[in-house]
Amino acid sequence: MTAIRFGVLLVMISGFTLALSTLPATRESAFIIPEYRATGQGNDPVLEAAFISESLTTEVHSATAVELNNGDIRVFWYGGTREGSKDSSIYSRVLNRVDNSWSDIQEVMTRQLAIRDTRRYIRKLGNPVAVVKGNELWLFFVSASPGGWATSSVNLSVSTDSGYTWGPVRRLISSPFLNISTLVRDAPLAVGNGDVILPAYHELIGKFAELLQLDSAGNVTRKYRISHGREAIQPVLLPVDPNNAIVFMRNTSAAHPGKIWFSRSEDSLSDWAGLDPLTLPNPDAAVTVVQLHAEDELLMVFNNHARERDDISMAYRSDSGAAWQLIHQFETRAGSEKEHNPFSYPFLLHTRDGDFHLFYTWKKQHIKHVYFNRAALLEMRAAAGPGS
Amino acid sequence: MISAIPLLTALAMTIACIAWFTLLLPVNSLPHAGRVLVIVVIALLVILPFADYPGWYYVRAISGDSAVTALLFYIAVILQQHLSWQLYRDNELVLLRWLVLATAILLYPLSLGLTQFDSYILGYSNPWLLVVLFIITLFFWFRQYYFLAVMVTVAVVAYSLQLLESRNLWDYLIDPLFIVMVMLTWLRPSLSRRFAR
Repeated sequence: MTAIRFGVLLVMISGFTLALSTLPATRESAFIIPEYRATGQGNDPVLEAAFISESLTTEVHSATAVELNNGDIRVFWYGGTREGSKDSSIYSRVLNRVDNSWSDIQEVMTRQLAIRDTRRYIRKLGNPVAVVKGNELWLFFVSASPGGWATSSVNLSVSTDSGYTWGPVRRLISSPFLNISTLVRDAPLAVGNGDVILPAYHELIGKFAELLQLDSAGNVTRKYRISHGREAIQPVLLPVDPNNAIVFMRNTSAAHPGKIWFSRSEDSLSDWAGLDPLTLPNPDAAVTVVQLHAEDELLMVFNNHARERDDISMAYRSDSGAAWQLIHQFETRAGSEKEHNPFSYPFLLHTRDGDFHLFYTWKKQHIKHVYFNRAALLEMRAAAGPGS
Repeated sequence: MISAIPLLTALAMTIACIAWFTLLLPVNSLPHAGRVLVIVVIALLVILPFADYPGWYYVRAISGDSAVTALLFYIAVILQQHLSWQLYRDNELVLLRWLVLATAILLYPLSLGLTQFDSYILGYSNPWLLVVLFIITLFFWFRQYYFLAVMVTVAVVAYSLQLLESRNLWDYLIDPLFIVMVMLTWLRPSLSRRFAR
């Protein structure tokens, strides 16, 4: 009995010593503030729009894009017979910035691939987001097995050839409750220590925004809670200095609906100010925001309505103290149209050369791409009047 | 369970499924051969493919990976039920129930967004959580609750070896189905008697 007693004690001491000695160090992240050229392509205003999903699937949704190291743009979306159908896959194509031509559409991720690699049954895929990290392209997407999107988990696949081939899919573990209800929608950021900060949100029971920190191997090593309760999801993350960021969020609140939420970190990503409503409306819908040439000079694309996704509009803010001003409307629903929520999930990309590429869901049938350059933006602001 | 080794993942899921059915169904009243048959049937259902994928792919999609502590508990349940090997004392089961309940109350409401504080983040690279666990484990050892002491120690070692996909210590210590199974031994006196015999 004494031998067992001291044997157990020895096992305990050895085990805990091993655990303490191998405990990973806390990895401090520092944002890299992006730099953009002020000119963009050309001095003449250019505003062009086209459908890019080519009716390959009956329904499409949730486009996002990333600027590759060579300046090309790779766009991702998901599509299938309908949203959440078993035949839904993640699709992608590349815009060649030299000759402005689109590549063929690739089916980059299927349900079968994700099942095989994660060794879990998966019923549907959705919400792809990507980030360039050195020579790698990281693709995150959500998958749900039982239930609806609220039961989703996040998956990661990495490409070393800018998205033409993809490595094994791995499941991110981000919640202690059966690892369900973590979703992504907006762009991750690669940070200075080689980690990635992934904006994410929960939808089951609580509806709240958070950030996941992933190490260079793709493991979730830390989380930061932005909000709590059932107020806000789909955070758009923008760094304002190496240690701090601001976020804009979709409003899911029953008590305070109808306005886009805003918050800012206070000294570190661990501390966030409370939710602050903007003057801009939000019909419980995704928004997209990019920075211009100063950290607080912003351009937002959103649904300019408190209840319906009837339009796609753009607002500009010159600095943190200035008011948002509506400067352009890309879409609006005709009065005779019966389509419910025809325009949604905008994603705006500000390329390093100063141009803008907007993608959004058009009546769930198409992904629409709108290109505009810096000169066109200046023209929109001038047309909108003083203050913009 | 173990991301690099599918066979061990399948084995872990099989153990978990056998334990869940053992706890949920009245298999105790069956003769020994009947119990063996039930285990074989459950194992086959978990391992054999249904509509292209092994049964455990579907189970894992819902349950996630079992915590290491849960797997050890499940193994102990199976051995005790079917081979009458008593790996832990009755007092250990009583204490385990209270600990699991307290941990669940601390962990889940906060991790599901009740407040701005997220208790789940305490499981990331946190030496203080390990220190607290060591003190708790010392208490187990002092009271001669060796099964609980070894259970927590093995979970901590598995965490340091990163045997699960998670890098969060909580995921090695507790999972929702583990809580349900431990609580079942409390809520159903017939199940408790199985452990007390």
